[in-house]
Amino acid sequence: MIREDFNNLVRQHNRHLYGYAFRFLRNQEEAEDAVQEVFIKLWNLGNKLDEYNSIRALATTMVKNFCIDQLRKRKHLVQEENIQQDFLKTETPSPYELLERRESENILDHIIDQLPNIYKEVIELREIEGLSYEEIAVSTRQNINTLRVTLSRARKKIREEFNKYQYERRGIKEVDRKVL
Amino acid sequence: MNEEELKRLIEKYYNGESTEEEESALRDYFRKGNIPDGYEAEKLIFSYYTESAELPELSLDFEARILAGIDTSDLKSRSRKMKKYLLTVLSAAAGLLILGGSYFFFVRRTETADTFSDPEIAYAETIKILRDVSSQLNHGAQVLEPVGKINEISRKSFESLNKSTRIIEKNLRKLDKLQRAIEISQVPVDKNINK
Repeated sequence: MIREDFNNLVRQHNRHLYGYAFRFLRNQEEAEDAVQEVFIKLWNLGNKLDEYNSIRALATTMVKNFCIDQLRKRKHLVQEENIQQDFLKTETPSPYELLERRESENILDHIIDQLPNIYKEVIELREIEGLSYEEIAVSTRQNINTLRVTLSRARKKIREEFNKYQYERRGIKEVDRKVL
Repeated sequence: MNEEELKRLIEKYYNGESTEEEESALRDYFRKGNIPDGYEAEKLIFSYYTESAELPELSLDFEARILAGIDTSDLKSRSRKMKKYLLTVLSAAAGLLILGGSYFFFVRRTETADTFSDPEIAYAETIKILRDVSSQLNHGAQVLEPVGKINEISRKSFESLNKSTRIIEKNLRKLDKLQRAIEISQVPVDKNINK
């Protein structure tokens, strides 16, 4: 892979990877460093990189492993902090549950990324940035009724895709269990 | 919120009919308590939205920093490759040297062999060779003659230098004696003056 192509990969995936790393590390600087490290490792793979079907999937796995290593290194500090933060929201999740949640977030990231632009836009504005219906209607230049229809379709699409992934994962786990 | 209420709100949510307040209520609900079976996907989806909303904005120079990091690692790996290459070349050269050296040392070592059967002839031959060598040496010595002349000249000039030094020494000694004589003759005069 030539450098220009790789630069495009960086531009394409850095946001997603950053979000993924941040959810593990809960620290902007460390999340950014993790993504940088992974991109350097990827680039150093050289020609081997072309052998992978999905570089996004490879990079995501590498970020995950890197973050888990980081968490192990600063185990006491961060785990306490994480547990405290999560404790406020829900009951304390086990590390396995946390990892599962990160996996789901990664899947959702991917699903939303793949949505048609019109769906992606309304989901980001309403669900993530928390804009009001009225604000979104103005900024996307559509009336509120049309906006509600778009949002409804986008939400249903996300659930449908997510359930598909969950189903596949459950299938893989069952196969794993049988093999073991 | 009971299950009935949850079901109603979720349905409104997916149909795009929920109000902003109802959506906030759903979000809070999934953030906190245990959820009834069948809503696992919603819990994960809502938690994903909450988490994404809390994501801090990326640094402005993030992309540039990644690219710069790759450049630096490129330079490092290039110099590492260069070192590796040099090491290979040098070790290959050293290997060849050892091989060549051992070939000459072990295989082509020149053995001294007897060349004369009669000791007298051998003796005569040796004398002849030694004479040859000595005549060559004499020839070399002739070339060195002018150097001998220079030596002679410098020896002579040193001799005359020595002579003049000796004369100066003698005169200095005389001068010394004279001075002491003057000192002795002056002492009584001074004493008389003091008295």
